[in-house]
Amino acid sequence: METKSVDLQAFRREVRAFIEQEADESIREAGRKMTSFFPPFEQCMRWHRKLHARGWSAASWPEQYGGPGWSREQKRIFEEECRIAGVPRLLPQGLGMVGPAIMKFGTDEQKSRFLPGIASGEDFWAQGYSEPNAGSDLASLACRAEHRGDHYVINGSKTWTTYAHHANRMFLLVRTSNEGKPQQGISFFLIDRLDRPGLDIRPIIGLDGFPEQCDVFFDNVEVPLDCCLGEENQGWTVAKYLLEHERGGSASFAATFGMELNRIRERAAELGDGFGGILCDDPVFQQRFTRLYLEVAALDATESRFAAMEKGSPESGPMSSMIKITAMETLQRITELAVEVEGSPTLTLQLAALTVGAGAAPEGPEQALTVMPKYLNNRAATIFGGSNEIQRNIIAKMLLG
Amino acid sequence: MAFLNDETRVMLEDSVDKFLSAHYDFHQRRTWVEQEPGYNREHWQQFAELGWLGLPFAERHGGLGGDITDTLGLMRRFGGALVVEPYLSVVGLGGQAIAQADNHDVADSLLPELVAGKAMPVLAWEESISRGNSEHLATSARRIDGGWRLEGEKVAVIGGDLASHFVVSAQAFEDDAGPAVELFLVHADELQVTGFPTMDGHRGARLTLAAVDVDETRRLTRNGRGAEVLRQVLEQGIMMMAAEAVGGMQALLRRTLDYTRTRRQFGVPIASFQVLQHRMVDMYIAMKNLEHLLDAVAGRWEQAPSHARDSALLKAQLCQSGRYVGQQAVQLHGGIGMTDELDVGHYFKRLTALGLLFGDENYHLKRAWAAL
Ligand SMILES: Cc1cc2nc3c(=O)[nH]c(=O)nc-3n(C[C@H](O)[C@H](O)[C@H](O)COP(=O)(O)OP(=O)(O)OC[C@H]3O[C@@H](n4cnc5c(N)ncnc54)[C@H](O)[C@@H]3O)c2cc1C
Ligand SMILES: Cc1cc2nc3c(=O)[nH]c(=O)nc-3n(C[C@H](O)[C@H](O)[C@H](O)COP(=O)(O)OP(=O)(O)OC[C@H]3O[C@@H](n4cnc5c(N)ncnc54)[C@H](O)[C@@H]3O)c2cc1C
Repeated sequence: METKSVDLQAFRREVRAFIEQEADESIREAGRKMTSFFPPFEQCMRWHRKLHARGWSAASWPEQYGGPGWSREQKRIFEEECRIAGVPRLLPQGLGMVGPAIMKFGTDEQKSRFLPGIASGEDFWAQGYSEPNAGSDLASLACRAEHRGDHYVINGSKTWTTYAHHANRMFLLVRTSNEGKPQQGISFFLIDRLDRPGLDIRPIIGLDGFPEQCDVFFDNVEVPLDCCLGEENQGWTVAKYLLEHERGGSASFAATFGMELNRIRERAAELGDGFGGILCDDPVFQQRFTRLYLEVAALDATESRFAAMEKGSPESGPMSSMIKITAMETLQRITELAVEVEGSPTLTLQLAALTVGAGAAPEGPEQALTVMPKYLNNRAATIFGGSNEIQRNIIAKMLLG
Repeated sequence: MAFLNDETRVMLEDSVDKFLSAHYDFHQRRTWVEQEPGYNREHWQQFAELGWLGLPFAERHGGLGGDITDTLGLMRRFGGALVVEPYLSVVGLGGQAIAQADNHDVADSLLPELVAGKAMPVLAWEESISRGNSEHLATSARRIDGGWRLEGEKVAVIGGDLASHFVVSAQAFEDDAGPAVELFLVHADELQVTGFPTMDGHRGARLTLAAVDVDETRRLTRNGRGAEVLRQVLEQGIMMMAAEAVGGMQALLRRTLDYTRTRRQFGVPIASFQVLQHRMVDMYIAMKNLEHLLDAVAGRWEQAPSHARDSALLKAQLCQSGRYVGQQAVQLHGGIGMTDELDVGHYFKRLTALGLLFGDENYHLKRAWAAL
């Protein structure tokens, strides 16, 4: 990449002006009402398409596939401005997961067919890995695809598939062989349409009362033979590459967590301590808050290291596991502190007020609205993408051999 | 202070077990929670017929003449079955506040109605500034001709959505003395009730008291005794909540043990992984810590009621144990633990709510420190 010197101040102003101009109220509302890793779908995708129109949707992609060609500083500034403005974070399944996998393993045909739709936000891809009996032990997956004439026939089911009910495409791990080790018979499929006969998607209601994940059933679903990414039976290699992206690679958690902490500190300066003083003068609160601040600072340092590291190197896998462990546990502790700071108003169940565009006013303080659903939903942060127990197993293997 | 004899306690707890196993199904609970009034009215009538509503009330009020500690076995079982009927709110808090206050006319007329399952008085003490402290409040009661004018706002009034009456705490300004906390009885139709469901399947409300006038007969406490009654009732409430939490944690631990023994990954039951075994041992220890502390606190209470330190420690332990057991139960269930479909998440949410109500861990550790 040529080294152009960019005026970072000017760049920041440009980003800020763009967001100011383009992020309408409903996009901002979706940002405010994000209560899990996955922002409200429709507004998020609208924002994605607006960013794409400006060439900014795929910030971390190489220029040849539609990336903006930003330096690390620019990416960080962009991310910061997005967090400050409170616009929804873009969904990771396409941009952060299957996109990079297609770049690495796809044929030219697959690249030109699928990457533009991911960058533009025209397509949304769901991640079809987990199954009822294959969670942590992903390699034991049983959803199978058989050659039949000029297509594959898929039978089986997937579960916990986030936003499958909104998706038009899905990347899927299927068993194409029972020979050898379980990992050896897995293929990585790119399913270009989800309206195929025999494919049934049923949303699952989560702890917060909203549907986010889905069960997906395949009953003799036919897909073309060229849907395979990489070689047949070599899907595990692709899946592993992509998991690493999912775990630590794509996002900067520290920046987002810093914003969450700022919000908590602001509230603690407003709320009472129950004895006539204000909460932020309470030494117990100060200690707990600052300990979390420290956790975020350490995470930030690790993330910088990781960003500079060659992906796919022997250390990068365990490092991404470490980021996943610390980031997700810090996140959970932040949401826990937020609940304690807001107190009993967080007990109110506010499905209508949390629904973007419903026009329902929150009961109690506006700042308390998302606090409980965030706490509840983020219990999943140590479960998905490989649970924290599994991540610790990975690091143990590195340490002990 | 009277207590039920052991035989009566056993009989009673037996009847609770029988009732719950016959009538309290998790999937039906969902329909009660989602429809008005948010619980099963028939259950409430049965609670009355079975004598449960009268447990801690005097015989002259139609009760069984027991003590609050006599409700703890029942509360444990309620916790185990995720009971949503407002027993804590009505029997434990509203009713007990009336029973322990100084206004015998109100007690004589209202408590028999409560015991019969008709009246549902609920305690309204918390305000947005309280953070657990019942004596830090802004609601005021000022003298008017023949009575009092109440002004203020109460939040997170548990069971407030279905109350017939409220026992409202206020800073009462007598003619010359400084303000003192007193309790007043207000009918539900005399103030503005903003009801809502809560995340644990229960109901709550915010109350707006905009110049609510009540006459002298509805003053429940005198000489600043409101603060003391409130303290004692909240301490009782904390024991009941702790009992409920123990029942909920037992249920969660049982489910987690069963699940990890049957769930197979990597060709083995996940319970065979030592890290999960130790986690479940820690859940067990957390649950037992609360259970044993509750037994000790209840034992001391029966000797002499009201220990500020005991109840503060108990609530802090509830927060700690409830959080750990709830979070780990979800974690060990994996994805399925995050769903609305499985009861595990609902126990987790109830434990979360019990931790938040009536002051968090930080508040209670401070209270305990002050009482050391
Ligand atoms: C909110 C959410 C979104 C998700 N989105 C997607 C998605 O879009 N696509 C997709 O494919 N999947 C998705 N998942 C599924 C997720 O990847 C799985 O939940 C996860 O892999 C764990 O599998 P499981 O739920 O079957 O739990 P299990 O594997 O059954 O694990 C249960 C418990 O056992 C522990 N455990 C298992 N094995 C071991 C071991 N060897 N040593 C120690 N402990 C162990 C686990 O850590 C966990 O605590 C999502 C899950 C959630 C909760
Ligand atoms: C102060 C002191 C006083 C003692 N007094 C006496 C005495 O009077 N009489 C006497 O006979 N002995 C005594 N002991 C010895 C004591 O019983 C042993 O130290 C103890 O049994 C542990 O054995 P070890 O030191 O060989 O450690 P190891 O058994 O080698 O253990 C090392 C580590 O591995 C862990 N570990 C081992 N097995 C497992 C497993 N299956 N799962 C998980 N973790 C495991 C242990 O918890 C420990 O952390 C004493 C020890 C100390 C420190």
